Amino acid sequence: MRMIVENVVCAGCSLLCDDVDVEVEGPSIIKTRGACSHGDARLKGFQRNRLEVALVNGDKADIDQAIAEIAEMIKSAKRPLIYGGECSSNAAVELALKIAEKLGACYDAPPSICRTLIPLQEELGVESSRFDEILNEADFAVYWGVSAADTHLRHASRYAVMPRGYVAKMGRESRMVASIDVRESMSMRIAQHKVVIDLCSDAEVARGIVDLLDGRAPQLRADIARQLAFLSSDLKRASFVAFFVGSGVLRCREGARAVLELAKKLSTKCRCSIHPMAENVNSYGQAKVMWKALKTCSSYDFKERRPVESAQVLVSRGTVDLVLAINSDILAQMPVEASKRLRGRISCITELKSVTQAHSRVAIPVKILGIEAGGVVTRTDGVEIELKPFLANEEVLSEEEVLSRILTLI
Amino acid sequence: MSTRVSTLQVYKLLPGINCKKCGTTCMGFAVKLIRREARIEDCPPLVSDPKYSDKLAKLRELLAPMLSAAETLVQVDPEKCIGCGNCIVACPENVILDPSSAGGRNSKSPDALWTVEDGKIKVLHLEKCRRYPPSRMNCNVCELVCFSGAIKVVA
Repeated sequence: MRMIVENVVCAGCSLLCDDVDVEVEGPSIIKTRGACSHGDARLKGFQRNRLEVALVNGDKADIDQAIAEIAEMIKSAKRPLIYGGECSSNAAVELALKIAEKLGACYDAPPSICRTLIPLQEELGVESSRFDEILNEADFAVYWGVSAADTHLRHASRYAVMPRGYVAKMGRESRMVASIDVRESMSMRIAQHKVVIDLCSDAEVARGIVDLLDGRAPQLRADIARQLAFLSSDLKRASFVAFFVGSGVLRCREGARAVLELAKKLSTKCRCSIHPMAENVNSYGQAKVMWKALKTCSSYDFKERRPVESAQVLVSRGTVDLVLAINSDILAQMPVEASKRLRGRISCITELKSVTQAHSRVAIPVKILGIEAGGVVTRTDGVEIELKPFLANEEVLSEEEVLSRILTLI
Repeated sequence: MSTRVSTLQVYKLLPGINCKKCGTTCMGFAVKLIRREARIEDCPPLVSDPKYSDKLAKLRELLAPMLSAAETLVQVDPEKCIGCGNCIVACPENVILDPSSAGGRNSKSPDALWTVEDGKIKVLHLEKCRRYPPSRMNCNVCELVCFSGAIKVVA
């Protein structure tokens, strides 16, 4: 029987668009309305690539048996690493941290702009506004180190540039857009200021804009300096500037700090807000939960109670002897030599088939977040969004259920 | 750079003798060709006189994209469309037809001009576009805001 479910929250990216309608037939989604091509692919394609049964050493197994096996493995490991959370709900991240704490394990997640930006925001005191405030009031949007047209397809149309708001009454005509990137990206098509900068020069460029705002000449190449002079003169006239910072700035040492310092400088002249363009659906929530619990967003060692090196370094050095990946494809992000060290020492809890799942000793399938499983995730403006399940699946457990069972067993 | 076919481009490829066999001057005929109110064959000297054969071939080539475009002379390439919805929110006519899209939402009204369906743009009521004949307003907002270049105004 066909059924239309209205106003579903799309968990395809960290924008969490809440105006998507889906047409459901049996266990599948056959039509979407309002979702971008990324969201559409996730909503319609989740059944194609999902892990259907629990696997222990490549053989089908009972879920209870697989959970017990994982609990036993991480309990008997000397130094386990719990990895992931960027595609999980906030509650699942909290459970992962509890498991790591109970075991005295290390915890890490994939590198993310959110994990860099949140501690810096706290340190420098630069605030984030809600997206609805940006929609209504912002008159200048700066995309830095990100192409929203490639990653967050509806960002411009949903919140930042196109919508007509109370103050920005004319939509895109009431706003200026700047796009600063190392290449000419698709986002630049809607930008008045298109600045293509050299690789790893984000910090210099941000400091150059600060110099221009202060009336000093920037120490930059003449063509970039000329473009930045136009940009800074428009920034001076803005009343509400919203920065959207992507992981491109992470390539530059001090890049994120310099952009935040620019935002802080601007906030003395006008209203200013800064947002990370999170890579995964809950990268921001993962970093926020970690920050709340540990006051750090770095990889954390619960045994020594201090931040440690990233998972890649820990695995390469052989510091950790077992990895539990939570809905995260750790092997896809790991150098080949390092991943060879994990042979037979990795297990995962996953929605979809992945490289990590293919090499896992134990793999437990879970319900798809935002489709079969509910949960609260955090949007990049700090607003908590509740994902409501609209498809039933009694054959597998949700991620939160699996993690709480593991927590009980250990 | 705009790839739109202009009246002057078409005019340069016409005989330019103002014989009025088509019912108007060559400039008038160029306008009619672009508006698709006339066909190339309506110009007898151009199609029958061999000295204009080069111009005829170039004119056919120039006007070819217009043949696959809708009445509004807007081409939408679904292969290129990424479903960002910029056109829906920026389109002034769509915002009038479905005010919820002014606030960044996908248009859900059945009366809307267009909507995003299955991750692609879908035209619901082409006749409500400002460019639709007879008004033919020279609006190209959708082309200006399209991230992927899927929307092209051909003339």
